[in-house]
Amino acid sequence: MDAEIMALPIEKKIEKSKEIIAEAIERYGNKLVAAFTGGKDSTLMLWLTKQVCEEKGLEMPECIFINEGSVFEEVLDYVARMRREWGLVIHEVKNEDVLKQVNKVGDIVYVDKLNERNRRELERIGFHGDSFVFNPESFEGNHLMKTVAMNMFIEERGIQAVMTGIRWDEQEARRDEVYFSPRDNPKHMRVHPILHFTEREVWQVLRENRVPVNELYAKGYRSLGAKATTQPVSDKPAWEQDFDSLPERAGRAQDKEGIMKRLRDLGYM
Amino acid sequence: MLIIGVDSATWDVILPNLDRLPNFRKLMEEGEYSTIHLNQKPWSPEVWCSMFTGLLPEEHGHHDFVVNNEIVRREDIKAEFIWDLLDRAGVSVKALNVPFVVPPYNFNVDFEPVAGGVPVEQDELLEEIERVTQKALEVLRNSKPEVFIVAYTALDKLSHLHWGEPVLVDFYERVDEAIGKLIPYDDEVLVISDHGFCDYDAAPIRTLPRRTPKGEIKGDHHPDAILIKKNIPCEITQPIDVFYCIKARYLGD
Repeated sequence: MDAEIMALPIEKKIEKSKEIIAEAIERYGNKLVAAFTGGKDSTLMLWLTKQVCEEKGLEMPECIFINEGSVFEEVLDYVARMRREWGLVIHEVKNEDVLKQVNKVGDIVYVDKLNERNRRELERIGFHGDSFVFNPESFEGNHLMKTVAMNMFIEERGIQAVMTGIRWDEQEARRDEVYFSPRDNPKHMRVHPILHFTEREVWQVLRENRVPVNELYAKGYRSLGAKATTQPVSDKPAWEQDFDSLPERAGRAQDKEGIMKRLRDLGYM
Repeated sequence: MLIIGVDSATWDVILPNLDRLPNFRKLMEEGEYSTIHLNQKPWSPEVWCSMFTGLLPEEHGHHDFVVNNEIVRREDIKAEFIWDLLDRAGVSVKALNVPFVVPPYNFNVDFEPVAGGVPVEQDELLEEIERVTQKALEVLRNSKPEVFIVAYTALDKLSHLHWGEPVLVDFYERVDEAIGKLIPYDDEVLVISDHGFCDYDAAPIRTLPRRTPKGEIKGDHHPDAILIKKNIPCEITQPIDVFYCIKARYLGD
């Protein structure tokens, strides 16, 4: 995390992001894809990309949407809406082989029924069990449903760069990320044009420019994960919440709503 | 005295798998074991509350985790728990992760609840077993009280969703390992469950609907709970006897 860049005024941050996006499009052309999650951060990234393309007369990069098997209907609706309103090309990426076995979180995935690629991937991450419970946010689930699904898309299409909306202040693990971050297996570049935005600034830009956002944020969700494991943080819209005292990823923390939802999911009420 | 609560533990899983549960086996060999045939409803908030207040549900009045859309807290329960009595009498006592409320209750122990207090997914259940054990070891090594109560809830969630599946025995193994780490620290040990488990269709009561947002429920609560005691002479046939047993040992009759 670069403290000097973090301290820039918001206009400078927008400029910085646009430069990175322009450079990525210039370098990778149609071998660049933008990862769109339906969340606020990748929405900001796409909005900035749209500005760059309009200003410079460039073609909008194609997008990928990773369907990890437990997606809010509101997210799917929103992705469809953005496809329509902004004319985006969005490829839906999913690990079909795993989804053949499961309908919902909690279903069992039997390893011997998986294809060779998925079995190899499980071994690679050190999983040696015969089965596991499907959950896109568990270690095995996350790897197969997100990482492997995306890697397969990269390999099949010869993609050279993937642009994502991660941010330095979002969580500890992201503090050391850089704007252009080379990856292996498969070899490609990760581009992170909005690393330097804070959550508050993301909302400021989206609200001031009337960028359409997912309706879940209006219902109090701060950070969108898998449907089965994400709860709203408060009954206030995300952009009106107390950013300083409530952590952005608190949707799973010990708030009342979270506990109640977990109990309800178990059928306790 | 070390009291280890294992939510939902049943002989129906332990006895046929003793070769995989060496610490259960060791305790059973060194002490005595029996079945508690519950006279009260096999319902966790009520039973754990009875166990540590010595009161029946109609007396302690605590019937559910949530009442009128509000989460019930310790302060809402108008009863004295064994740790309140001991503490007042100057007997050192600590309690960790006791699941009569959500998040589970701690007394004289700082513990950040696992998964917001309701671990459900397997990784969260494993995290519970690991973090509760770690915290319990910290207590036993650095500031061991005369009475230490520690409970694990993982088997309950897992039994509801995976009753009859091999993964359940894997989790009993994890709990067995955890127990194995704690029991060397005390000569007087009590291991107890709040109720047993059985096939959903065979359950005498239904605590959950068959279909839930987490999937189909395969097992439900059975009124036969487990008890293992080592170097504890008192007779325990019902959950409330645990309260009187601890009280007699430290405060006299």
